[in-house]
Amino acid sequence: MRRGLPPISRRGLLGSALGAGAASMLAPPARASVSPAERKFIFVYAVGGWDPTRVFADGFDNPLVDMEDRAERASASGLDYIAYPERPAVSDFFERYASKTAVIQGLLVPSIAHEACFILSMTGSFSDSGSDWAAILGAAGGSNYVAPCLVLGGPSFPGVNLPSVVLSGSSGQLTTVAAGTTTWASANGQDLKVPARQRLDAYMSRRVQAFGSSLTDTSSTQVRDYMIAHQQAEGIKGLRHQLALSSIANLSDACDIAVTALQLGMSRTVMLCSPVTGLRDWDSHTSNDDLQNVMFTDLFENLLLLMFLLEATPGRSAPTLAEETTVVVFSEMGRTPWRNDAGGKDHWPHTSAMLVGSGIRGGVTVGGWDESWQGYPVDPATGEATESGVALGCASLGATLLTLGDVDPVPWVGDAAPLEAVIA
Amino acid sequence: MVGLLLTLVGCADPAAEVSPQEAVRRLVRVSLDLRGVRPTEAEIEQVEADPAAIEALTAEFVTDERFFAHLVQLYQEIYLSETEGIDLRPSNVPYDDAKPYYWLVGQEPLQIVGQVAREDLPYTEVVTGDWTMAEEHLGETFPVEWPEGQTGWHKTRYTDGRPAVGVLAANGLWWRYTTTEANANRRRANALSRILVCHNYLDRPIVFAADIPLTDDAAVRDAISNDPTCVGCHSSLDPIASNLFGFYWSNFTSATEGLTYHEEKETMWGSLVGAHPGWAGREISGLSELGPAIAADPRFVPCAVSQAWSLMARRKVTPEDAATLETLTDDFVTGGLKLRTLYRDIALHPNVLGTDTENPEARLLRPDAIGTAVEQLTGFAWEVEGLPVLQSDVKGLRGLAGGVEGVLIKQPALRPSSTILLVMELLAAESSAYAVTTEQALPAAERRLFTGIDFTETPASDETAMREQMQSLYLRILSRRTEVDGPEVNALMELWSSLHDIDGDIPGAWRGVLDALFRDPTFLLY
Repeated sequence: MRRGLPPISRRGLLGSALGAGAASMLAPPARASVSPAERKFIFVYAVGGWDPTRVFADGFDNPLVDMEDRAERASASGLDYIAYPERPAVSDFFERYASKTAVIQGLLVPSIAHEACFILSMTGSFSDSGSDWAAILGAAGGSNYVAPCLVLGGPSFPGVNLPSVVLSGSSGQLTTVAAGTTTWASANGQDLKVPARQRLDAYMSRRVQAFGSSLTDTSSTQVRDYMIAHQQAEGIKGLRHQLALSSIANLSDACDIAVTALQLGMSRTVMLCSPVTGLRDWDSHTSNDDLQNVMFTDLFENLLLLMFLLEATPGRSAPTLAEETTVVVFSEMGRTPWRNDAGGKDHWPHTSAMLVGSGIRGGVTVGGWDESWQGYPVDPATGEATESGVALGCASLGATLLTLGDVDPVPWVGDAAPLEAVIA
Repeated sequence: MVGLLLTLVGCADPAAEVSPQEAVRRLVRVSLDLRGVRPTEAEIEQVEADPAAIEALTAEFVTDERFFAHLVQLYQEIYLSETEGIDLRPSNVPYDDAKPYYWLVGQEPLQIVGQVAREDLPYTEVVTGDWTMAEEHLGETFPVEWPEGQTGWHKTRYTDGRPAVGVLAANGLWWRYTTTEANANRRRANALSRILVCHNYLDRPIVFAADIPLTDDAAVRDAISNDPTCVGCHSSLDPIASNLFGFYWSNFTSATEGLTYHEEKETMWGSLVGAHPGWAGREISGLSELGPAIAADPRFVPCAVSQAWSLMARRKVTPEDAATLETLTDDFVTGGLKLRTLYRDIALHPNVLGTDTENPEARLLRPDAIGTAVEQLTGFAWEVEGLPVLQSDVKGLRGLAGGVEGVLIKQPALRPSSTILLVMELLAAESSAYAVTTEQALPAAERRLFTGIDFTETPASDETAMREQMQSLYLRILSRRTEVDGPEVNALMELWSSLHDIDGDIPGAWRGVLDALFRDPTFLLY
């Protein structure tokens, strides 16, 4: 079994600097602009359908909406949110980052089936052969990255951008394969020794080059893709010691690795999910209040960590990663405004999404909720609710993200307009 | 039929020359496409001598047990049921790690399809058979006939009175596709429609009309029945859903709810859906008539054909395929709806075989076939915690190897990716170590690969035997003939010597050669 240096834990290096004594370290440095082509993305996906009324959506004056008893309206930097005593991390987050945050309200995901909503929210269409936002943006980064779109968890719809998508595996198996960690060979003392491995790898490099040199104008795309894949695989192997993928036990670990992947220049986009198992823990058909409280608490505690890590990590195009990274937080659906007989909330096709960081106009809310708890049509340019506006759908979200990432959205989402109101 | 076959292999002129190399290329494609293993030396020699022999060999391949096993994996791309992320969590599953259990449960409908092919039954048995498939974990927990001590997958029958409707009665299908009170089996209805008649309701954009207040249950129910934007789907979807209440559970962790059929719940459609059980616009009595209704649906057979075509051609059906699919469908019907014949015909079709173009596109080896091909050559069965590594996801590598996990990943990889190459590299390391270690202990006559050496030879002592062994490995692993002093063998000899020079380890040097052959690009691309 190959051994290497223990992976770097960014949280370990930075210690417990999240404590009060280090607050001064967290003052955001002077904002530097980064071009959309250089912008990076971290997607945090809440699997199962979150309840926007717990953080984003104000339903206090709507008799249809069951808000929590002790929830209160709150505001920071012009951004309204819902505060709750048992969720201080939510308030901490908005107090600190509302000036860099935009919220989309009443986003329509036209289904209430989880699997259909995964596809819709991530690709804007019903076709499961479409390409998701993270994959499109990652692929646009081209050969600059060995793992242009790194998927640490959650649904993945690479579509035509498959060669750019690298799955880490639900148990971080990517580390094992990248390290060549054998089971049978190791147990039987049959691992190749390092000198032998090096000579074998050298032979393979020559063999692959010879294979690639057979490329002609009429050669298959399979051969071309094989050559790209080989180059990427070698790159991933080179970085394997620095990614502790097999030790992702929680969202904090995933955030750590996501930031590392960006900092190493390994990836342009990283996909995380809450919970890290990819199970639909947000799917609160029973005990909505308890479950959503636990999930939102964990989510926002980790969003605080994620932002802290981004701010503390040097960027590749800007002084810090925070200035060149957009964090996209969303879920495949919302939940009914009312509780059911089991104290839960069922599926609802309107939800919220949150964008934080690079390229985002902070303190902005786009859209809203009408009296039947459906989304308002909005003017994409101003974000204002207007009868003559457009329905906020997944394609609008996609158009916005692709524009932020210097990708022409038209081939992917047609004439869906990006939400200029949230773009700085 | 002969004429059709000749046309299918692109041999409209029987005298057309097919080079030995091209004959072998075709053989490799058919063998890997159907059986998930490379052709043997004998099979290669057969087509080299007579390229037309591929027809007879293909007919044999679809009777091979490995074809039936490969079909099970192919249909995972349609049923999406073989997943460790299954929804139901009954509390009485008696295994320490329940994940392999759920994976096995999800295989049930796939094994039914495989069994239909194994017994050469008409495809309609998939929805009309009065049997199911189980192995020992399922046999000991499901209400099925199961002799004590029996192991492995076997045909059996449910004993709880559920209707005889093939996969429609399979626990494995409904554990994968669960439902809720609000959903009222509609998700399941769409799954049936997508899987069996190729009609996915979710392919249509769903218009949530702004004037339908979703907060008003009565208004929503009225819209489902009367609003044009809803009726288009619900008028046919809801009657399908109404057939399925025998599998309706209120408790997802109940020890018994999910295991048994609930005849007493069959009429719950009245309150939860409102539409009488039906199929394709015709009322039926319920699940017992649903299977025959689907089998009689004019979409059922063409759907089976287009699915098989898409699985084998490794692409979605296009309008240009229409004439081909019509011919295949006619032959499928004429031949008694036999999957073996259908897959044989498709495997030999010029578009799938790559004989309709001068530069046929290479095809990427499927994850399960990566495993079976290597196992056939080396005897190495790659498993982790009781599951095949390349067919499982939580600890396995199916997703990284381009496979379909079923819930979060629904499309297979059709082009090489970095993780596929890394997985292949790891398998090459494992299997080459296993092969060399085990074969050293065997007499030459019992070995799969190293039949020409004794692991004592060096270039100085017997270079000829070594070179001939390299040729043999090339032929068995990559299905290519090489010259004993040609560039391929020379390169492998150089590799062998460079490895041997490190510490004089002869078996280790052969292990490296084997490793390199499995990592060759042409092992994955064929």
